Amino acid sequence: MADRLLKFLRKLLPYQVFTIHGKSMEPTLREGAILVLKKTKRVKLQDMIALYSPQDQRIIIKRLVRITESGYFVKGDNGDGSTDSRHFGAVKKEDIIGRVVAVH
Amino acid sequence: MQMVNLFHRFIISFFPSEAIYAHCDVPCGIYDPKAAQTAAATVLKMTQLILELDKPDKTINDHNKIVRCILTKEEHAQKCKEEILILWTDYFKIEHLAKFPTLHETFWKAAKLCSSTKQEVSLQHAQDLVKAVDGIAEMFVATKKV
Repeated sequence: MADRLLKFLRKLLPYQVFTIHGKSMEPTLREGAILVLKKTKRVKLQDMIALYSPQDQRIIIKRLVRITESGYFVKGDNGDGSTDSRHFGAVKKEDIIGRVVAVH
Repeated sequence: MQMVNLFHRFIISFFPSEAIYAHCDVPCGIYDPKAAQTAAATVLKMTQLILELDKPDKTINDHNKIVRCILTKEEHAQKCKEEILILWTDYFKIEHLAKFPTLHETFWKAAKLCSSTKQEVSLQHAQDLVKAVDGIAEMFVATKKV
C-alpha cells in the first residue's frame, strides 16, 4: 500500500531523478552524476535537456544549442565524443522530457 | 538557495534513480578520419619500400622485407577501407549531400583505390588513395563546423 502511494506521489510531482551513463556531456556531467530533472517542454537555449533519442528511443541528455523551424538542435558538451543533432538531426518538442535543474 | 538545495536532495532521496545516457560513439566507434589517413599513408610507405626493393640481386633479407611490406600494405589497405566505410555509412547523412554533391563518388573511388593498392604495387594508386582520403577528411572537418 505504501509502495503504491509512493508511486502515485512520484507521478504527481513534476520531477525525475537520473544517473548519468556515458561521456558525451563531459566535462559538465561525468559518469555517475545524479541529475534532478524538471518534467517540462518549456526549455530554453543552453539548457541541459533530457529527450528520447531518435535513434533508439533511449533517454539521453544533451544541451539545447539551437531552435529552428525543423525542431530542437542538441549537442553534447564533449565535442567529438557525442552523437547528437549533428548526426540525427533536429528533435521534435514531443521527444523532450525536461530540463536539468540540479546536478549532484 | 539552501532551501532549493534541500528540496533537490529531498527529491533525490524520494525518487528512484533511472539511467540516462550521455550517449557517445566510444567505444561504439568514434568518428575520426585520422585512422583512415594513417592507414592510407602506411599503404603509400609500404608501396614505396616494395618498389625500392624491386632489383635483380635480391638477398634473402630483401625477400623477407618485401613479404612483410606486402602483408602490411594488405592489412592497412583493408583497414583504410573499413574506416572510410564507417564514415560513409554511419557518419555522413543525407543532408550533407547538399554541401558535398560528389560525396558518394568520392567514397566509392577511395574504396576502389583501397582494393587496387592491394592488387597491385602501384605508386600512383597509393598516392591517389592518400589524396582521396585527405579529401574525405576535409569534408568531415567541414561538417563539424556547426
